[in-house]
Amino acid sequence: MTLRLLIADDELLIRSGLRMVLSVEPGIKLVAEAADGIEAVEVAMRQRIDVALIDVRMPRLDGIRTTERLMQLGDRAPRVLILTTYDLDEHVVAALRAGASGFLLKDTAPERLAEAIRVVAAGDALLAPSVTRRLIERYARHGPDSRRVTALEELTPRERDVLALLARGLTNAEVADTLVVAESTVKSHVSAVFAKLGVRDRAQAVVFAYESGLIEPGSR
Amino acid sequence: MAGLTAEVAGVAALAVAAGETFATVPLFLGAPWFAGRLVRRLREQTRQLHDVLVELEHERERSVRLAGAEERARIARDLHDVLAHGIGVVALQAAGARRVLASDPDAATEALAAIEEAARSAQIEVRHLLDLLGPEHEEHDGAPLPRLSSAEQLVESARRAGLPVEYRVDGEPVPLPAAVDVAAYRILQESLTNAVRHAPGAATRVRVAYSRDDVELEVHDEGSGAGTAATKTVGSGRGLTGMRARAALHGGAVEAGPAAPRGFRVRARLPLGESVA
Repeated sequence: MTLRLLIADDELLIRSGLRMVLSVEPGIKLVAEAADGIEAVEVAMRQRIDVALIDVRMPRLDGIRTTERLMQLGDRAPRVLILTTYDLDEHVVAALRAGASGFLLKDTAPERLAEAIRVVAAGDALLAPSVTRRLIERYARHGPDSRRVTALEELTPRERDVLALLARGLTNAEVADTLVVAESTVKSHVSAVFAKLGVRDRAQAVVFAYESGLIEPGSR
Repeated sequence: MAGLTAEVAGVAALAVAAGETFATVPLFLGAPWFAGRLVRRLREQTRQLHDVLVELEHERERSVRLAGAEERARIARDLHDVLAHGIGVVALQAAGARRVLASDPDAATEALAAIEEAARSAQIEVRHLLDLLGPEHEEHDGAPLPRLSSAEQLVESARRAGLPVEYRVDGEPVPLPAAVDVAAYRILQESLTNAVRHAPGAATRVRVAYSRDDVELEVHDEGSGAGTAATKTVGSGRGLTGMRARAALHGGAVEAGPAAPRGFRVRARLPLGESVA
């Protein structure tokens, strides 16, 4: 199935560069471009977008708030990849907390770009797990958040295990190996965890895991 | 100018008011008196404008001169932002152009034009920023390019400064990534300067070793006298912090300290190949 892509960035040269680079990638079709967050949301409301590349900094509506609005589309919401210049940027964590699936540096090698889009579209692995976790660890709000602790208590012990492994950046396959269960079992646990916690995405789950105190910063 | 108009209006109003009482007198006295005031007012304003301009000029000179550490840091950050952005655009557009060269030559041509423009304007902006840093950056005039291939020249000038230097190159010299090249040169330059300063006349060995994975630099001077004081506070006054910072930026390291049988040794290792930040 072809992945329908949206790029939102206020710089024309970034949009055209990404457009050209992705034009040769099979299975990915750039269906729309937006110069700011407002346009991005309008596009996503009008047509099906599978993955949206959203610049963290844009006029009128920035990357974080654009992500929030896109998440309000519920099941129709696209997976969001945040585009950024810096890899240790607290605004990126805010976007992950809001529901973005991962982030991409603007100097990412073009080969990795398409790969990243496919990874977040599939949803069963965290994109760039070690840098993403490092970023989240650095900017996660410290001290367990009582609301999140309560939500955590809704999980069964098995679901907590799955969340903890997921938060360490393991793919579904790796979680299955670790717990010695079938991958399909893991997938249903993951869905249950997401539903109970009200998170959309693995990245959001990782932020949750740190901010609820389930994972301590620095733990492997 | 508004003030002058008000003045004129005011003076005119006075003249009219006075005219109601003494019809002929203001008409006779008012004109030249009024004109004189006007001229004096204009002269005053011109003088004030001139003073403001002189003051602005002094301010500009003062701010350029007073570009202290904080200001330079700000300029350095701006330099980085300009370069990082310009280069980023160039890299992305180049990647795009290459991929659509055959299938969409028009788009590729546009991309090349964008690259030309982005590169050129980055150059210009960088030059402007460097100008702000003042004449100190012009020390490059006449000096060799800061590349490790100029190491020989560094050794020569140390020798001319009275330091007997034994210079050796191991391995096959290879072209180094630009930033690593500059870092290596600067580390060598700093180490040799230190040797000249802290161990004047002492036998010194300089070694540059190229391997497949890294380049190593070693500067070992056998100075003893001046060395004693310096070794108590290792690193002080020897610019080691700067050297370590440069090396660390490229994933390398600097070891520095007293060495057997005597003297001080700086050893730096800079890995080659892409550094992944």
